[in-house]
Amino acid sequence: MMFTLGIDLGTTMSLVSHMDGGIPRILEIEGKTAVPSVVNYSGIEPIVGYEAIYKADAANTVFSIKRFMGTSEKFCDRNAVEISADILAYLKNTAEQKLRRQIDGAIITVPAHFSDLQRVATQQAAFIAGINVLRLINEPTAAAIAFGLDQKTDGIFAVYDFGGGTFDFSVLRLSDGVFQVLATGGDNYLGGDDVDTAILDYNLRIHGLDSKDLRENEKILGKLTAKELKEQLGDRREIRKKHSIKNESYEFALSQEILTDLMKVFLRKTTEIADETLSNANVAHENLDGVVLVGGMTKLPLLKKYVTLHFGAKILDGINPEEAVARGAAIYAHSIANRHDVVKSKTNAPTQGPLLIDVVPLTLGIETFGGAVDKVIHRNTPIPIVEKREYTTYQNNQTGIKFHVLQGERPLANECRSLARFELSNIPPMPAGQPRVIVEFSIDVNGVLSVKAQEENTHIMQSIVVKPSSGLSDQAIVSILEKAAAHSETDSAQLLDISIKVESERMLKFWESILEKIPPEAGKVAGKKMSDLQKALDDEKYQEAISIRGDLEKIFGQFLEEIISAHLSGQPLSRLRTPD
Amino acid sequence: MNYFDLLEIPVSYNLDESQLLRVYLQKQSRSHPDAGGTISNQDDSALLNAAYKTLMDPIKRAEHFLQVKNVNVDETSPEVAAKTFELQENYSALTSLEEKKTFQKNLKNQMGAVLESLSKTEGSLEDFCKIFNQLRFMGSFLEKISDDVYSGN
Repeated sequence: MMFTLGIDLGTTMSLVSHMDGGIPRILEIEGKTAVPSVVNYSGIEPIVGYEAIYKADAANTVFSIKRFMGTSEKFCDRNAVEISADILAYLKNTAEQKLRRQIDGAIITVPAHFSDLQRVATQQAAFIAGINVLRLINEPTAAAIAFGLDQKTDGIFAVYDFGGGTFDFSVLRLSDGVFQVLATGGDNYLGGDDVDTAILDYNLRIHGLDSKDLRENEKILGKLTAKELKEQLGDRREIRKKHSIKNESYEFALSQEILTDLMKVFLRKTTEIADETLSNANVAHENLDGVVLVGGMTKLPLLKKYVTLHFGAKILDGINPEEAVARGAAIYAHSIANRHDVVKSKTNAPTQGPLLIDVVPLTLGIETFGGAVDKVIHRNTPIPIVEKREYTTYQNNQTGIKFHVLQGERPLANECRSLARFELSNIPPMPAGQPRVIVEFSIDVNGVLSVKAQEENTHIMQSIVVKPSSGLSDQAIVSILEKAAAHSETDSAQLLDISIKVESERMLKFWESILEKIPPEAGKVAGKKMSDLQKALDDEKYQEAISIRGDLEKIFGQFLEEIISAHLSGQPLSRLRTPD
Repeated sequence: MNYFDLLEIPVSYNLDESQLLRVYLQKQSRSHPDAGGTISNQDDSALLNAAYKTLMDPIKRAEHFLQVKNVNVDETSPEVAAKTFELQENYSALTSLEEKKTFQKNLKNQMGAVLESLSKTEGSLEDFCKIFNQLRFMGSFLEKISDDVYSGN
């Protein structure tokens, strides 16, 4: 059977999960369950995760790249597809090293509200990273899978997914193991990140500062402190933290009252989206059997209270809200692999695992004469789906028709997102209105659109897969893959060993640089294990190396956040203690 | 394509929605690409989705029902034209979003009542057609209003 992964490629953090004895497990990377989606490009090879933050090198470091998927913006000379590919490659390679086996396929999750271009960009990134993408699935749906299997109850559920960078709300019906998405809504630019910014701005204001006067580096550090305040506040009335800017020490503070006040506008926006989505699904609050809370933001007691009050439905939060998406993706990847095996074996063995029927998040249409939009596939239509429309010419002897494909809910083309333009040409001269051009929109299970136009009398045809013009051209992808192939003349087992060696040596170097920053008792153990690891690598004992590396990751993992935040704000490290 | 036949349910406007859902899910459990189907299965799955989407929507279901019954729907009855004009007049007089939302709600309620009467006229295709015409224009008008009051992107 295929060996598969679930990958939650998040705005701020990414997670990897795999099935182990029928249970989704989160793969620990760097001793942590989640890796920062941060890449540093100061060296020859990109550095992903905690070390990238530790570098404190804002000019060569990229944060929150997911917010730029589907755009052509460049950071450190790379676009969002390439940078996301580096994160994905790191996750995949690490998983292969740790599990010591080839990954045959993976599900990557995307926000339900991701546009077509953002989905295709994600697929391209995975392709470059050498990942066989079984499916893109929507984050809230993945979370529902992680929960639904535990509950084993049929009913109508909502998923409230408030993550680091995006907010999604989905309404689903669960019956007989089939998850049917009824409606979905969301905002790709509303997340915990925005709350952190608000907390930072508030504290800057208190001290008579303005974020405009901060350098990029200082802003990032400020946001990290703001995030810590938010996460550590918990049920306490107020907490304080020292934060230095331009060598000046300030006290940052956050109280329940202030956080409530700062979050009001964000929370209201989420419930507005939620209520609109429920009304699109024709589901009233009282008909909800439960609301699943997903995403780091839902850990805040304040938010939980607000959501409970709003929906009055049973809140389901039995699974760590940060891990649910990755777990659900792992379960579904395994389920697809299993069903394929059953079908291939041609036995009548009952298939196991959930089935997911998702929907189109945003309406797709064609611009018509005069700049209006002819909606071809309405949002919340189940996928896969094929829809056809017939168009004709409006002038005599017109030999071409231009099509403009759009996505969005607004009635005018210039208010929607432009996905693609193409032309059906070489139509033989005919009187206006005579050519019959059938335009076919087809959306696959990944939510990715392709469009075909055909003139019925002459069978002239033109078809396109909508691709982000900003992404990479096919040629660019081919050249990237050729470069990768040049490295991989060796067989795959050997390749895995090489990658274990390279990655372990990189980590050793990083650990050496922070060894004296961890408490002495832990440092002693770590120092011994580091030389063991080096020896195992020298002796080419890779199984052993991976196991020692895992121990070291655990040791360093518990101090990483503190070391990084101390390092970044230039504070003395003497206060470091072994956590309980 | 006859969607009633595809889902193996009786050709009738008054269908049992829970039965429709059950059959649809059963068939998707075999045809959906994730259910072990391949990409070539995608077409079957897409067809089932189109059928389900059509039959779950009362107006689209009525239209499909008439199509299956080979009834040509007269699109320009003067009655409907007058009613459209009246609605448009009333709506364009509204300025605030609140008023528009109330209008939308009222129109939805009215439509509910007309749908109710549609379900009782299946016996006479001629009457069915008349009511359907009325409904169709209400539906497309409602869609226009939704565009107008939609608060998302």
